[in-house]
Amino acid sequence: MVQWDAGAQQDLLKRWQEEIARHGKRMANAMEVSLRPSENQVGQTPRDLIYRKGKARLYRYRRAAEVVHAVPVLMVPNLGISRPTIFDLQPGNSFIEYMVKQGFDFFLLDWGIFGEEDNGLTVDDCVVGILPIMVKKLLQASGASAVSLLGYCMGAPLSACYVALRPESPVRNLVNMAGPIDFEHAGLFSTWMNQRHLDVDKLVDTFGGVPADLIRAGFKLLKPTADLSTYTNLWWNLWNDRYVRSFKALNTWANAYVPIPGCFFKQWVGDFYQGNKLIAGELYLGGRRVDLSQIACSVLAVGAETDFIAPPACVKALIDVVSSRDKEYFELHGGHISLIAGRQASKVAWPAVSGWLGPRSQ
Amino acid sequence: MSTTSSSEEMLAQWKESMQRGIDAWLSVLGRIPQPDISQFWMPFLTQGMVPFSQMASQGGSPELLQQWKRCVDQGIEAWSNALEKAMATETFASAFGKYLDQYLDTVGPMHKEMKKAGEAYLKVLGLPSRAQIAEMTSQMSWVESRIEELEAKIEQVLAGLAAVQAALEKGATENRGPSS
Repeated sequence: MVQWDAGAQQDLLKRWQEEIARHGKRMANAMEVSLRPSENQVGQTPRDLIYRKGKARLYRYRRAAEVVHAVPVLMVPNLGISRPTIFDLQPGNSFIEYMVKQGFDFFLLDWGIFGEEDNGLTVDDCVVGILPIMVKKLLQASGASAVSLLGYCMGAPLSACYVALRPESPVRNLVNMAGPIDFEHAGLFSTWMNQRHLDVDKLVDTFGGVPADLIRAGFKLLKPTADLSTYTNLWWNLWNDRYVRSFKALNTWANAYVPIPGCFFKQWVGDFYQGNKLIAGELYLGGRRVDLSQIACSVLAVGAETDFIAPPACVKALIDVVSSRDKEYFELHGGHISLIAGRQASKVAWPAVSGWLGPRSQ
Repeated sequence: MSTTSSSEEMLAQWKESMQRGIDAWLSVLGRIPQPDISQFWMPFLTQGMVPFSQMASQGGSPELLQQWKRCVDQGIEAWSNALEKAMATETFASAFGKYLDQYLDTVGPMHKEMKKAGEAYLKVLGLPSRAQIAEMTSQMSWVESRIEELEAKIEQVLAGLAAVQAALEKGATENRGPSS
């Protein structure tokens, strides 16, 4: 039998009282989260539409502070799969808000929400058609003579292709955040999408494009226990109003999957995943060979230790192939999303990216 | 009624595909050695017993819940690692590919029929079909591209004119020379 002294008893009683109070709060918040699991108010950082081409939109975020960095930043997110609201979840938990407060003139390329009418969109259209015009319009709007490209996930290889095809383009800095470059090391997706197992033409010919539900199923299968873990952590932290607000904002983003256009998906899987042509220098876009060694601007690659979508080896590969003299690789704790959203991101990843870009944006 | 018979056909097709899918899975499972499930559960139970025995010796405390949570987290992580190892195998990838193939074989004709039925319905209502809207969208994209090309040409012409004007002004300044 354990002997307790009065002090320990008081302490124990206090802790039980706290736990009971927390439990009461959990019950109250549980009702609220069940009735309203998503937060409608995401993407609140004020912005203006600068240009539109097809479904693609170029947004400029309004200055929250004096612009101290002369070189504007163009963020290039993934095409399809999910909405770019992950970069601007809510005030205090927004990568875009953070960068704007750091004094960057920040632009975002929103590829749009695709439908059947977009199934003819190709990787060539994005890299050779849309990206150049967006960069041009950005420079016109900002009055700058150079730009930093910040690619996240799929946006990173697309940005790298653009810079490699146009070494004369006014790109001063290229940042790759969790973007796969060497698809031999791209984890489970490269195993499942191997040409021995996946007939991508059949998939696209059946549906025209890749429906959002199929994309959702694929990503859920990558980590089947993710939902269990998410809801366990949610229950555990339900007493914390701030946690609940963050969860709802993230839930809004996490449930908004976007279809991928058919022709784009065929090329993406065939040339990038199955053929691994980007790193091999065998990729042709717009009739020209994409040679990553043509990239000579400053390059930063940021990988995440436990990223199972773009494992560190496949992100770091960019550093090994570019001819830039100023190039760096960071590897941070966490997974694919933890680089761009959450407490860890705001404390580690965002300052790392901002700290690297700042001196190179004068 | 043709509508009833086509929906019955679709239902029969779906039932057949479900059966074929189950048969395919069973034949794949029959070919691979079945995992020893106790190997899967044993680490979870063993990890769980350690904090529980600690709890029993320490007596009741809110730390119980912390330890329970840790136990659950470790269990989920153990599951996740085991599943990841299983899904990274060629066998799984092959089975998954075959399943997807089967799914597409089933869904493909159904999808086509539903699309046809949808188009027919829109036609009856006098509304434009998806193909017509897609065509209109691509025409608009073409117009956008033409406008962009024209903008680029105008910018070139303006840049050329600006260069000519600058050259003329420079020439005029040189001709005037230093004022006497």
